[in-house]
Amino acid sequence: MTASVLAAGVLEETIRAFFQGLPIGAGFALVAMSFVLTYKTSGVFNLAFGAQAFISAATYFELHVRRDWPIWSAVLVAVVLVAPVLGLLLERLIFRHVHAASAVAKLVISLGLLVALPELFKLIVDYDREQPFGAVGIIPDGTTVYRLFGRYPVTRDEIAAFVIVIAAALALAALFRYTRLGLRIRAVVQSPRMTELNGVNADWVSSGSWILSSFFAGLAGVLLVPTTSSLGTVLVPQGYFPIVIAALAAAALGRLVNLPAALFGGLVLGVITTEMRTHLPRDNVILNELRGSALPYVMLFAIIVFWPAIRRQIAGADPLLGVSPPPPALAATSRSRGMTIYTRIMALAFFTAVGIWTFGYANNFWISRITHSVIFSIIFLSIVVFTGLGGQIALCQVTFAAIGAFGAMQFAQRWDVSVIVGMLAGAAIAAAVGAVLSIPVMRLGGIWLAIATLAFALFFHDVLVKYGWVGGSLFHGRGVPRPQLFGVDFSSHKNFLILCIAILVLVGVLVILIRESSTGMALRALRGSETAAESIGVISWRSRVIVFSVSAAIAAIGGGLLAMEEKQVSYEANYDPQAGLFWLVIVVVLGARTVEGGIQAGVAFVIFPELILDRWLGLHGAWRYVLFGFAAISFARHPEGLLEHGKRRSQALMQRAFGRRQPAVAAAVAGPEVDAASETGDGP
Amino acid sequence: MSLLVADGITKRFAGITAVDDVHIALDAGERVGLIGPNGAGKTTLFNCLLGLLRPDAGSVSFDGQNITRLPVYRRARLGIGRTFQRVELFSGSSVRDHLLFAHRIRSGTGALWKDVIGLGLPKPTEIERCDALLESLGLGGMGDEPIEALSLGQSRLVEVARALMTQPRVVLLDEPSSGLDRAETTALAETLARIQAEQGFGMLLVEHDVELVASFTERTYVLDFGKLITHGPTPDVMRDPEVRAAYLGDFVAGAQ
Repeated sequence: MTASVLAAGVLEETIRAFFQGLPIGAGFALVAMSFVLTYKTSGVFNLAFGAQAFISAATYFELHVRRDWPIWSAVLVAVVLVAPVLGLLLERLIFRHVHAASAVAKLVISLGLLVALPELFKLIVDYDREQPFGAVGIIPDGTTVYRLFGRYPVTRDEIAAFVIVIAAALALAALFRYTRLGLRIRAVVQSPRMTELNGVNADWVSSGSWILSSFFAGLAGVLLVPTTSSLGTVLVPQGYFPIVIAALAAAALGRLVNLPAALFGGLVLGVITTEMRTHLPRDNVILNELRGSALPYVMLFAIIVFWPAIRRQIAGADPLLGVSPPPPALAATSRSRGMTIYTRIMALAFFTAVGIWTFGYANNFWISRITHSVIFSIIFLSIVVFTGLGGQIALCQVTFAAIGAFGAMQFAQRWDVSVIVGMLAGAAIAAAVGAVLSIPVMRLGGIWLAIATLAFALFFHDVLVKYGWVGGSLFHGRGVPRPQLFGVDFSSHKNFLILCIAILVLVGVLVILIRESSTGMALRALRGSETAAESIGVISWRSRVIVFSVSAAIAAIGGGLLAMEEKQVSYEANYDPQAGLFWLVIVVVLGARTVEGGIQAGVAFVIFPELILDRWLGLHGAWRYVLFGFAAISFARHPEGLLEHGKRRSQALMQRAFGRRQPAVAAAVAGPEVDAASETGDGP
Repeated sequence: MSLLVADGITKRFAGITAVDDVHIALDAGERVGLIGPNGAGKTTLFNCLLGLLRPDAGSVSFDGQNITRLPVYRRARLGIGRTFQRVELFSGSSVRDHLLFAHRIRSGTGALWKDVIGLGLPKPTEIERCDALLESLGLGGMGDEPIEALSLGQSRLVEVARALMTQPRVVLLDEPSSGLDRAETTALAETLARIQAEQGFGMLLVEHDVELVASFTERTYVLDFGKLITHGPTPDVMRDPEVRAAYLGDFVAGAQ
């Protein structure tokens, strides 16, 4: 009879987990529906939802807990006022102006916002003055426990979350089905211009849907505080990441366009989460992690790779899309000879001056900062290779850098091999991991690739690092020595800097060679038009897998050097996936297309907060996230990067000032008709 | 044995039979037209030939090899080139780059290790070849122009040049006259005829513009409602009452 008692126990646990999973799933569903709503109406894959949810939750916390406002008024301000206004502002000031931009460009903008918004909020309300412990829900006495059917415990918070989400879903369904606004939203999804021709203000409709989705995000933010254990005590922006990822997985089930699928998917994933937490064994690292926060990442990756609907998804074509002006021509590819010579002379002068100062006068602090700049330049060249040349977004460069760092560490610790060999081995491992990772997702491309790589980065962060053979053991520590090579000792600051500069030059030349050669040509063709590239025989996934591996290896070399510079792997400080988001943002803002763009980003990343923000302007270092995060908006208009754009403009101004010839692009646009007529002989 | 053969191609979309048991064949060096009114299934058939769609029934073979299940890039590497109805060029690249990319893909020297040691950079001979082809298409001296600066007619020629750099044995042209006026169409047709006579590749012209097909092709297939209604030497096809009916309507055909 013990067997049946045991079975009854398992059944009871399963049912209990089911009822606990529903409210969590309701939270996922709410965020998933917001995703679907904005993706459908504006083509924006809004990763910044996490930030929006955080802002509402933090506003509520600030008002209710710290300032003792009553619950109803705090909710009113945080959810009904702040969230919709934020949505309206985002739509009005940003996303309305990038409607014709590619999905990838919009994703980059939302990444910038994800980085910038929480930091801006924290700076404005001085949120960091004390850790916000003791976050509470929006239901009075929310922790009161009821027993469903007399035995399954649920809290008042959980019931409220479930009921509110179901009500919101029904209201949304009714809106789409029975109201004029719903009909207009559906029309705008298909073609904003066509809808305008029918006398509907598409901008208003789009604003409406952003207000709505932002309201949902805010609601999710305050509802999820008590229901999700990872947020229960400390309210931080990162806390919303697992929820956003789980919601993404739910939204992906409906290919980002199906609202009922998003709702259903969210509820199912919520239940799966609690069921696995209940039933998975606790004695295995991976399974144990799956019980916690790693599950959403695995689910998201699996759904992207295996869910057939995603492979079949075709981007909806607006019949009037041809009316939009073509995307701007790239500055970097059409740079004139004079500009090239000018920039080279300036760069030479600059580097000579910096070199003389560094090796003659700088103290160890500044040598270390400059070494960091050089190393981050190397890491950022991996983004130049994949995003600049390949035109795709990957969010796991930080993981590859970590693999390089751990490679250097493990080889030096375990086998007493030269740390340089360890770093190169790490690069080879990163390249292999990159290839294996990218083969299933590379065919999908675009935003799916970005999300899948983000899921991998988070999985590495939450699970793999904890293995001794990856992240090292507490016993050995994470120390990394400086290298010795061919009898030269690179352990002094200056010698190590020389080594880093030499590697940067090597990698830079490598990137240029790849860009100008066959591999680069295939990538440029793919970036221009995938259909046309395949029509001349380019194997799109193969080119991209190769370049992804190369980029992984470069990131790993940089990561290895960073570990040597710091004499240890400072994983949490340097290789956090959230830090990786900022890496991408700063590189694409400053210039992802050229080697010099990558180097500028490396220098800016290290020097900017230290020198300009802190010492010159006396500002908090977090302003860099705000400034570069918002600057990511420029990516839609200037994919070549702001510095590149600025250089081109200053060159045009100089040439006008000195009365020289127009740059090649302008001349070509002005005069092809005449040339063509005379050349082809069919003129009048 | 013809070079490119489509045998019994059938393609259905949700109950509609877009292409119904169609046979077409193209010999090396031949100029063949494929015409039909809107919705006749021309584009569907075209996409089946290129590998963008997989037919529900029937097979496509090229030079005796069954290519029905091959992806687009494999067919391109076998020697099937194409142009696009809505021009598809590599934005951000120069005119010469388009030819250079195509040449590199074809010549197959895309090994990463060669790139890394500097053997993958464009060679002067390759640039000369690209410029020579541009010259013969009437685009001489435009190699360095950004592609965005070209007119539609010139863009179509660049597409043709790009296809030719892959040394195709067949080029499939998808409505090259769309968006061009009469004079531009005539100029394009003359250039195409000249370059085809020089290089001797086969050509399948999918067209809406009956006049262009009549002046340019040796044989013509006519599709209507997914079925092949007739084929033969172009002048005969153009006189066929059934073709006239498909294009001009039964009433006019009956009156004549």
